[in-house]
Amino acid sequence: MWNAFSSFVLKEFKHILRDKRTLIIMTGMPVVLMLIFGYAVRTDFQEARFALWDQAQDQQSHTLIEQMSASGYFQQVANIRQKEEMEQLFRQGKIKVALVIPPSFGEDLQKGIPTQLQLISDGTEPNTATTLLYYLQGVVLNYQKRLSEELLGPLPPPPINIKQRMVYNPELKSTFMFVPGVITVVLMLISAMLTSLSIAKEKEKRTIELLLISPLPPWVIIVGKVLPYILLSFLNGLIIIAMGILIFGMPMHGNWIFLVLSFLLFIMTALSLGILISTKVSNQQTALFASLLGLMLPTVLLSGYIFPIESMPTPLQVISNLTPAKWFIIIIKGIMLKGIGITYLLKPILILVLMTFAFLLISWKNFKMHLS
Amino acid sequence: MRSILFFVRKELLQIFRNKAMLPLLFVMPIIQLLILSHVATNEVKNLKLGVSDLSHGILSQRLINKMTCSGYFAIPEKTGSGLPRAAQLENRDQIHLALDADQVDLVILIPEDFEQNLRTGTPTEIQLLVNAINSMKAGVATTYASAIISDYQGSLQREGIIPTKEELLQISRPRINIRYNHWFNPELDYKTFMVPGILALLVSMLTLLLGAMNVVREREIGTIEQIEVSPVKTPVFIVGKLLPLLIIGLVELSIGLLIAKFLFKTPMEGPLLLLYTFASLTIIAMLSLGLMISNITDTQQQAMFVAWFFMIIFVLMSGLFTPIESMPHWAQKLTYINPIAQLVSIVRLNLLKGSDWTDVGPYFRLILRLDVIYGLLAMAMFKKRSK
Repeated sequence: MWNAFSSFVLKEFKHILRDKRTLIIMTGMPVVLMLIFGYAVRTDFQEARFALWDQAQDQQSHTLIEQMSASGYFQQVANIRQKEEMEQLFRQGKIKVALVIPPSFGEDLQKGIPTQLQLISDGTEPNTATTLLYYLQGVVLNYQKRLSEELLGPLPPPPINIKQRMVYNPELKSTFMFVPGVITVVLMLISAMLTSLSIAKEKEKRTIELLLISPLPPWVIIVGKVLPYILLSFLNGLIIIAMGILIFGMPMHGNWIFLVLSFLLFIMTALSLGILISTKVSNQQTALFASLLGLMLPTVLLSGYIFPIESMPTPLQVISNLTPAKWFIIIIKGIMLKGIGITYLLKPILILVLMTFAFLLISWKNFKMHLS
Repeated sequence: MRSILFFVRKELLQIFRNKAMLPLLFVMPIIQLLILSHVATNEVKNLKLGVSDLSHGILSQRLINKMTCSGYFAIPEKTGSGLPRAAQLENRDQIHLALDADQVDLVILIPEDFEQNLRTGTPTEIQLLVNAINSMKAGVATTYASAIISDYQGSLQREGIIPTKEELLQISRPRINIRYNHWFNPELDYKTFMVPGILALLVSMLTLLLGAMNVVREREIGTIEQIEVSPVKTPVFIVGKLLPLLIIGLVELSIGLLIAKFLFKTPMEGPLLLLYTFASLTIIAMLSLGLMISNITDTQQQAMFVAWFFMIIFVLMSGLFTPIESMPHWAQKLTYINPIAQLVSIVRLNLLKGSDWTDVGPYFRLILRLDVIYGLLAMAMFKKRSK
């Protein structure tokens, strides 16, 4: 029995190792994803291209523009004199914002009359529009403060001083969001998607029947099939964690054993989901699309790793509770970033355990029906 | 020419015989549009506020009220077992407990002598402790909170509760106002922003996957040899294979546009012909990439895996979710070889801003160049493989 089992596992391993391309991608995927998220995907804005319509052309407006460019957030790409030019630049996608300085800008400032700048932004990108507005407000506030200081000398400290403390992430690194996210996506991909595909392949090629009439009981076959994927997933998870800690400065405040155990738990959940899918489908293509729609989309979108769950409409917030990824991300963040123990994470852990059992139970029923 | 038509017909029949295709074609766009457009928002609202008010005064209460009335912050009422009340966190331990358990997103800490100091004009300090794991959310939270606090400070000064010299009062008034207009989408509606981008994603994702799986499928089930010995020439074979997929891609685009128009009321300002032309060019580039993938793989599983790999890189770096401008320069350069990035830009320009042919010349030059390069590469790889 043990002999048959180990040779079955060995056979599965050989299948995986023979397929060099998939193997390369499987190990390359987490590395590439980490590098993209770490270096290429940013949410902080730099050098937004803007057009300037300076109707004042005086010393004050020049100083303001200098300060805008010096802030690093804005980069002037055009000087315009009429509205049509501005419209065209927007339509060509060449600018994100346009700033209009009124003719009496410097004069008003000197006389102490309130003056008005006009910012026109590209509303088709709401995030960018609001961020740039904040940046400009910051630049203008600084400018005003300097003007006042020129008039009155150094200002006394404000009555209320605000001290900000960024807990868990003092340097505001984006690493803390994407490392848990990448781990979940990759583990999901390997554990659930590849398992479902590999079982669906046996079904499509009808080799599953050969396996089922072999002396091994069905559950041994399933375990033998998924064991290599467990190891692969685990290895990948470790690669990502190592990269996160060594390259991107992800802290590890919690317990390593606890972390490893929760990895295994999530891998089990994902695997049981993969098995569930494979019992439902009859060929690889269907398995693929079922995984894409049923697994990857929710994992990426509803787990709160790119978009905040709180901002979603209520029905989607409810659905997000059904994605294992959401709970796993809570666990990883809790262990690594907050260093909290099992007492605070009991709820997500129990949910994952329950999900795993539920998936396995449903697949067990499906599986039996198939054989009869 | 006739042989191409026959080939295309055969291909379409073959594709639609597969039952999995129909849901893919009709269900996927609807689901993606519905879910993505609702999910993809970076708006931050409903921040959970914890309060640690040591001064217990009227002025501190007024500040807390001001914060909760702003609509950005809410004090969670529910307390889990063993958790402190968010409305009044007594000490450091409770503050950290509440943050650890994700009960609150930020805590405002008001010192004991807050009210006394304000009334005598002595500078005082308010602490904001923010859960910064999501750095973007933390940034927005502190911006909102700081704005509310400085507003509060201004009104106390004007009311004379905080003693302030006349000239300081003068300069504390803003002298430069910023009036802002958001063009093309005055309400900053996220759906207006996301729906066109998702359309682009949808079309390019589907065509890349179909293109990658199509030829490799024939190879896997062995029917490719029959075609190779048939009198069909290689260009005819390739065109015959890819043309149906191009048609499917455009049908997909049309379905998506209909949903966008009637469900999301997405504006369609520019000429649709431009959009269809550009989408076709993008699809050709994606199909060529797909063909390349099917040349370097042996099984459908591999092909889909490789396709998925490139897909995710292309999508993440396409400017769909995060603006291209905020990427580092080398990453911005990479968008020149990324057809999805080009299509995302064009769909937004064309639908939302009404960009016309004269506006988007550079984009067309770029995508044509990509078509030629990718097409030739795919062709060369295909020939080599056939031999």
